[in-house]
Amino acid sequence: MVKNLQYKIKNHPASYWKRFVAYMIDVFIIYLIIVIPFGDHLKKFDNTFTFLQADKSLFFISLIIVLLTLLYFVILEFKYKQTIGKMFFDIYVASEKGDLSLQQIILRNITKPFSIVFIIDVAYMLFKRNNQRLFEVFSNTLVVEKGVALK
Amino acid sequence: MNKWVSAFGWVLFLLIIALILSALFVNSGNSISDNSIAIVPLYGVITSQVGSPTFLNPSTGISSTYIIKKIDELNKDENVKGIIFEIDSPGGEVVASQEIADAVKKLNKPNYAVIRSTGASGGYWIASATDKIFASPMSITGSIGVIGSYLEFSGLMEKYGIDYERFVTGKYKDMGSPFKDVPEDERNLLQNKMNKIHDYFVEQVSINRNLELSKVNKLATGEFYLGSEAKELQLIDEFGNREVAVEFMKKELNLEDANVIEIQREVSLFELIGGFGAYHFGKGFANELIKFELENKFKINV
Repeated sequence: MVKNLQYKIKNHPASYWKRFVAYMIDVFIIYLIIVIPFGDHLKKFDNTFTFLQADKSLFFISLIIVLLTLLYFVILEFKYKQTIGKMFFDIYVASEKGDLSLQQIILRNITKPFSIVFIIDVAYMLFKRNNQRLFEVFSNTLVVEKGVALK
Repeated sequence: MNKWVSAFGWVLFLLIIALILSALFVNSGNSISDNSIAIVPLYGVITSQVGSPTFLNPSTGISSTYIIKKIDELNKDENVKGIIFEIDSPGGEVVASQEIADAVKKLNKPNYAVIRSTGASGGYWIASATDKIFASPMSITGSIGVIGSYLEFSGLMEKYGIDYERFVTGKYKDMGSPFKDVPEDERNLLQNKMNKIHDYFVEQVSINRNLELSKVNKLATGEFYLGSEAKELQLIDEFGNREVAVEFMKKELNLEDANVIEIQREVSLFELIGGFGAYHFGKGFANELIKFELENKFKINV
């Protein structure tokens, strides 16, 4: 049974374009609910050259945005195995080994707030048959199409 | 419950958290508190534009574009009662220095300059635009003059049999090119332009420091003056560092309990991470190549 399930999962990875559009939807939602509320603070700082009060406020604002972004992916994937973007395309996060755990979800999403690292993470997909990002490989997870049995 | 409704509930929860945290930042002293004296550090070479600071290269000099913006913000901020420019600069681009000096002159609140090791040439121009200049007796100040130079490679090129093919539509279009010898008429033309900049610089210092033009002209030999000499020559007002200047300003403002805040240029977390990226590496490499080309053309600095 387990072998059969893993066979199905490995053979039904979600397509690149579904994952890309789903991610864009998530980015848009994150922009609306997390970045815009801090818009007034961020406006004070130029995007290439920043002035900052001694209290290092920009550092903390950046840190909060990073943590809330991570929370968005972790909460939704832990509760529903989907983010809002993934819900639009009926694609799910699945574990390759046993039940999908919180640790796996945190590990697979840890790169998302960091654009440069995330690009490297995503670039790995191009060389992997199951459309897996590098940190999906590390976390033994992958994104699959609807219809695949989920543990 | 429908998963969509439930998921949007979590999204709403995150939005509320973001709004609460954002509101906390407004009330956490992120904005400048009442009765503040702002210290604006001006360290490095003055240019109109500078690159983005990164973890690997946090020092990027003084960019007039951003300093002017900051001066304007501080001028409009009612909580800022006075501004102290802490200068450690050997000068830089003519227009960038003039732009910052002009912005300082437009301030409608008390403003001082504190010259640390060096406040020379363009750095002194900016200092002269403030209400009062403080410096150490050992600080390097003055150096009122204009410099224009470039490396000329024509001899080297000739030695290696490299010819400079010249295609121009105006006689002086390639004036200052490092690949040819400077003809006499071009040399005179460049010198005349530098003289005009020099005269403007001297005139501005004379107006800013309320000194007779003839006196500033005598001092404007390009010589630098130590703080002790500069005080005798009325190029600075007081001996002292930041603390001394702050105490002076507190007395002038009659605000003994004024908060002193330092406006720092720093790298955001995103920039810090981005600084390691391939894009920045490539951009930096390309910039260095272009810079080499530009830096070897004729440039005028104060």
